[in-house]
Amino acid sequence: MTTSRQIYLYLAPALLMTVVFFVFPLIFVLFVGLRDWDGIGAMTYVGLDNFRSLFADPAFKTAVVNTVYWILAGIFIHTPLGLLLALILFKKPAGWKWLRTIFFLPNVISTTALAFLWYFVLHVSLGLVNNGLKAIGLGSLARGWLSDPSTALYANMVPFVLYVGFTMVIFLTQMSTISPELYEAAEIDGATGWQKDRYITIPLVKNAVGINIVFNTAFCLRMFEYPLLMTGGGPADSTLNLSLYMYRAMVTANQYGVSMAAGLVTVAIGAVAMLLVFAFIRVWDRKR
Amino acid sequence: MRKTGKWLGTSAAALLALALAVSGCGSKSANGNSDGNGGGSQKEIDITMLSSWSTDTERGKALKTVVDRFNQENAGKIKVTLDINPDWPALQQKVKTMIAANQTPDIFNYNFNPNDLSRQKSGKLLDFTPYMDDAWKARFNEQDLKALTVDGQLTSIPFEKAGILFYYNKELFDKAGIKQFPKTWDEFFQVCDQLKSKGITPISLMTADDAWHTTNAFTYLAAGLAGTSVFDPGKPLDTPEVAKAAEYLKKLFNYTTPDALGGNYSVSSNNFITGNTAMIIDGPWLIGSIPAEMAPKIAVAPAPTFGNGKVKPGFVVTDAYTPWSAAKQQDKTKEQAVVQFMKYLTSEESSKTFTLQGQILLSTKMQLTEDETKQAGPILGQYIRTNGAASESIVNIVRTLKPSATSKLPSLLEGLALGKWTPEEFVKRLQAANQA
Repeated sequence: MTTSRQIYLYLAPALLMTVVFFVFPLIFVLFVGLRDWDGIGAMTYVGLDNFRSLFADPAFKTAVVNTVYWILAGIFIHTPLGLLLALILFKKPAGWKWLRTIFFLPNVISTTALAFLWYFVLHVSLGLVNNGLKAIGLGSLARGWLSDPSTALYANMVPFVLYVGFTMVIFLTQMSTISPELYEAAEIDGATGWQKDRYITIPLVKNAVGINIVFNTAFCLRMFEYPLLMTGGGPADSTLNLSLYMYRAMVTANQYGVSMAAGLVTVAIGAVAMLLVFAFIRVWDRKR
Repeated sequence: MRKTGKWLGTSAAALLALALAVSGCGSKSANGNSDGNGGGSQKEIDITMLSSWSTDTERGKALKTVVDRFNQENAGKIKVTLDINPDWPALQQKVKTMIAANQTPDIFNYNFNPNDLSRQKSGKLLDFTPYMDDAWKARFNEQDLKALTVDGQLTSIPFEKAGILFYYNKELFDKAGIKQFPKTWDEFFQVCDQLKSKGITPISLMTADDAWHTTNAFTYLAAGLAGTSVFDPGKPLDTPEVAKAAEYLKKLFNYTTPDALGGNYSVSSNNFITGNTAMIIDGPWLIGSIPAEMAPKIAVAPAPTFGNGKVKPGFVVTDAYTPWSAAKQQDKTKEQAVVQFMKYLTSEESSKTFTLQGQILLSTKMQLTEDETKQAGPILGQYIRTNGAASESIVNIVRTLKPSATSKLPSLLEGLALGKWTPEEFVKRLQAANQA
């Protein structure tokens, strides 16, 4: 029989790690966030000045809005695409195992390599997209996808939105736990493929929907490589997000306090986003 | 509260030290942990030198040659080890972290910025003033030594200070019927129109990182309109002359490649060295990247002027001083070894190696014979002559801005190019960012 002492003992390593590598750094971030520091000299206590300058900076507002767009793309485009792909592969069409591997493959390639790949795919003069459009007589549609502020943010999101392999695998795993008898019964009742998806599969993978939304929201909050390597946050800050804002404030502007303050705001936004996600899942649960 | 702050500060320092230890950039070479070399001991003194000059570049090869030569001459006594990180911004960040963690690198280089004296004011750099004897002092211009002296201490030794010139592709100029490089900005824009009418993209520009090629153009334009003191520390940036320069810069964006917005140094320079553009404004380090078959087509020229007498024809924009600094040493013998190496690094012989082999121009004095200039190759020879004839100079604006303004520069330039703001708004925003 497990005693409460044993429970605490088993939890101790995880708790210790959390305190050392999360709680203490978070306190340190708050400590620096209230100070003016260039990374070398002495720190000066400035109270909430760093937060004031953050909220007065239009670039920070852009970064917050763009991060929210990333999260929305994760929830409303990336996750449904992953679900769609999983629904197709769950029907086990010819070569589905190969397709599953191919769809998952981008998830084991470094994001840096993918960012550079897509930089060249979308490049204004060398890019596959523009040259493809020109080749089929649609040259008028060619444009600087990454250098036009009206398309740059969406162009940044393309690799993330398309590479749904990880999300798809989570859905497939959950789908594999559904009893085949449910489908057999539905078939006897004359249910179409869409009706089986609509009334059996989708409702029974709602836990996977929740998990995927949580994972993708966290991924979007941490998103750094695509905006940095594909557009550097530009043009004119149009693709700046919170991670890149923090990086710039610290590495280029030497404003460590501002960077840490932005980090704390990101944590707060992340907490709110997660609360909303969990509230949504709970409401969905109750509805059913 | 004060106690908590102190505790957190100590913990922060400990964290930084731990991070450095984990990333493998601490210990052996750090000044704070002298291993007891010297002090009468016969043990070889180890000095670690941080640099971004990788040995696949001309300047990296030259640096290795000089260091190897020094090590050979001082075998068994002093050994300098190169620690190369080709990523310049990452190297600079590492240096700053090391200084903050009290593990200042033995020797390192950086871009001197009079508006960012955080390294000098850290109190952790070696003051070379007591070692600056007449012979060593004579190797430098008085003006350079003065510029690098902060609070009466010379913690940086002048080294690289390259003039930035206009490179142009003679073949593309010929194709557009252009006989010579323009002398005034009016002629320059006419040349751009001529090139453009022949389907040739006139100039390479970029906006990412430090927007180097673009800020070279901007500095030339602003100095041409307001003189070489236009960006002196303390002077406002939102003047009518600087706004006018921004207006010209905006016009220049009409003559560049579509990938200039968001493009970085390699995108911009590749456009020139592959013949996609007819001009670029850059330093001598570009020469090493020009392919052999392209080299005969390339020439260099001084910048155009506005002919208004604000600057003398032939003036140059320069890169920042990129001096060498060293850690304050607890061990006097090691300190003397560092100074001995710095004297060797800035000697006439080493300077010639850096210029002729490494294709970089230095602050140190040097007499090159006609044969040596020829030996440098056609482009570098022409470069040395043009740069040497410059009557006055100004440091590129990006090297004198405060870090807060530098971080905003790419988006400001992109906003200007895209018409998001007027030239007047651009300079106002730049001035505001420089005050932060």
